[in-house]
Amino acid sequence: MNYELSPYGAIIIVVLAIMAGVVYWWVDPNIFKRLRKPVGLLVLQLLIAGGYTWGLYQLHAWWASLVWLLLMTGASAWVALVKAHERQWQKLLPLFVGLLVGVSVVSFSLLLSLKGLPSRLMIVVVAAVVLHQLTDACAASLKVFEASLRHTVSHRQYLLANGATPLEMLMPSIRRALRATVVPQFGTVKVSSLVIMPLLTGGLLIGGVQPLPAIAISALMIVAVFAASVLSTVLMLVVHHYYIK
Amino acid sequence: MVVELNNVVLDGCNYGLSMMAKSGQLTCITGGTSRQRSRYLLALMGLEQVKQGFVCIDGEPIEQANVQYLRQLMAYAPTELKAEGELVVYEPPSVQDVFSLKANREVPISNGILSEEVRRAGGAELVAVASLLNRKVLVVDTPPVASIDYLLDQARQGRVVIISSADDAVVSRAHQLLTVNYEQ
Repeated sequence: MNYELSPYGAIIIVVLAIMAGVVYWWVDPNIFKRLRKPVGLLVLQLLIAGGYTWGLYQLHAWWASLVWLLLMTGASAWVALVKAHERQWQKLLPLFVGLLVGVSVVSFSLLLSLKGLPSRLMIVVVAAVVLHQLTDACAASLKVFEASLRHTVSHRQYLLANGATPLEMLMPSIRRALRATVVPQFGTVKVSSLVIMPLLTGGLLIGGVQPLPAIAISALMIVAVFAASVLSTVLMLVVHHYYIK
Repeated sequence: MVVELNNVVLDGCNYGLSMMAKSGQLTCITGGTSRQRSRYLLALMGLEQVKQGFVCIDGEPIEQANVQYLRQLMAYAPTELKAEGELVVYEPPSVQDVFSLKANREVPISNGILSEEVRRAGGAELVAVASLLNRKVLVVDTPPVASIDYLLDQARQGRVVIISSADDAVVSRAHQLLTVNYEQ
């Protein structure tokens, strides 16, 4: 289904936004000043993402989608590193590997289940949804894993000294990291009518998908994101263990 | 069984330390700071970097290749289990965690056995857990005075018992003493 923006509707929305801005400028000028940075960043990101996606649709080539996937994964790994408050750049590699494998496996599986979509283009959209969730999951688990390692030196020595293998010694920290990955998702799933449905299901409905398939696709996405976040976290921790001494 | 420290120099130390702990004896590392004594105990189990010298068990030096195997001859009781830094929630390893390790699954354990052993060890649960693992070498960091008779009994049963302490009531009961200098 093709849509076109009506200039009248768009103008009304822009006018409404300006009026809302004027209200803040008048009532609370300080918060109005703080709005400038996020709005500027929003415009910049929309321009970059929009421009690139437009280019992809024009090119309609598999290699362009692949480059996009690699670039987005790299950017997501960097965002996850910043969110985890990590300053060691070598930790980008475990994050990148975990995110790339997780997003690739799950996105391609999702594309297989969504018949009739032009896969070269839809990989961009599907991977973006999955990557968004994975970035938060990996950042949370890396943060918790590193903190756990820092805080439990004597705990790990105790286990090693009493016969633990290296994996058994790391297991409490791995357990905490995996918990940090999935616990926020429980919260999101619990209030799915407030978080997932307005964004994902709403997007699908706007895109012309019928209500029942839209709900089914949303459910599939939630399960896929859960699987991808566990896969990414485990891979990230494995690469972290072998690569970072 | 003999556990040896052969002129072992730890990272950040200038002097070497040597000792030979044998089966049936209680050897006590004393002097220095509690951190220094703990580091020597950890070095015995290959858990502390040794700058110079080597640790041997029955003449076999502890190396990367055999450390896992040699550690299975030892059991360790730290002074206490606590987290480094401040944590909102800390879950120390439980008794169940230790006995569910692959190396310890065959060791018989129950609430009754544990509580009886803790009573015999003078209320020191970590010492009782280490002892129940039934290993040939028992390493205890700063045991309470109340458990010294229990540790001497473990030595009499043919184990190598190595402890660290600065308490005269504990030190005076040891069969062999090893003194760490503050400069070390």
